[in-house]
Amino acid sequence: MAHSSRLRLPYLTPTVGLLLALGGGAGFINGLLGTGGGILLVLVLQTYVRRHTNAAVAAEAQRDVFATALSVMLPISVLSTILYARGGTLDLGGFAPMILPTVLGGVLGAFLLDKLRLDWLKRLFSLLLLVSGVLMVVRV
Amino acid sequence: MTFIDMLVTLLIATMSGMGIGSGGLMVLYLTFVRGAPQLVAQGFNLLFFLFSAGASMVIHLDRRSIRLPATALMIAAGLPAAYLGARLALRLPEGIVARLFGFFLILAGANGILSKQERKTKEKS
Repeated sequence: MAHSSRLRLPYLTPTVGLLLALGGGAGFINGLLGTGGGILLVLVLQTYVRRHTNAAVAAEAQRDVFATALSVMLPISVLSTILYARGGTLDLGGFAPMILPTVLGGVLGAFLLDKLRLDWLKRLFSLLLLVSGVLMVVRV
Repeated sequence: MTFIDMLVTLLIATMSGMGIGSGGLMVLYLTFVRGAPQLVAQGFNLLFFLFSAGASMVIHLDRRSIRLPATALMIAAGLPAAYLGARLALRLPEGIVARLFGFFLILAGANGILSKQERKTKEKS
């Protein structure tokens, strides 16, 4: 069964120091920018898997690494959200109508993750981020 | 908030659930299209992440393998660091935070493009 083989994958066993540094870096970015910690986690953990296994295992582990990053960033984001609320920068009323589409999209995306090839979408998204980042730095 | 906002939110949340790291996209939509201040957009994005990732996790917990000790260690280090990061964000001038966000987008975008090339190279060899 696919699940049992995934459980034996030899990844996510970096040293305690690396995990603490990684969690700390992701947490700091999340608090500072309100996003981004998960990207750091996925990048480092996926690189770790790739270096300590092979391309096939790394490809299979990709979804598990993503789910791990989400499970790390959720509680951290709860704290960041509380701190932003205390700082007076949280628009709860404005967000209320967005709860339903947000939850629906989250569930839909988790299902689609197993069914779609995402390469082209990820590339397009990365390009969009790159261009937007340049615009943002230049605009400010 | 309009129907278009809800549709955009649905699309971005779907991308987020698929792991395409769409937090940056939500902040961009709110700042560039909706004209929201940077920190308000970041706060909105945190709420967005809690609901979209929370919903995704219900599915992921059933389908993926998550190493709990490693996860707990990263959370333990991440919480105090997030506290420092958020305190800093709330004290810095908003223009500086927006510029830092822009640099983050450049790095994230470049990483997405470059890591893809690396994978293809390995597949070919």
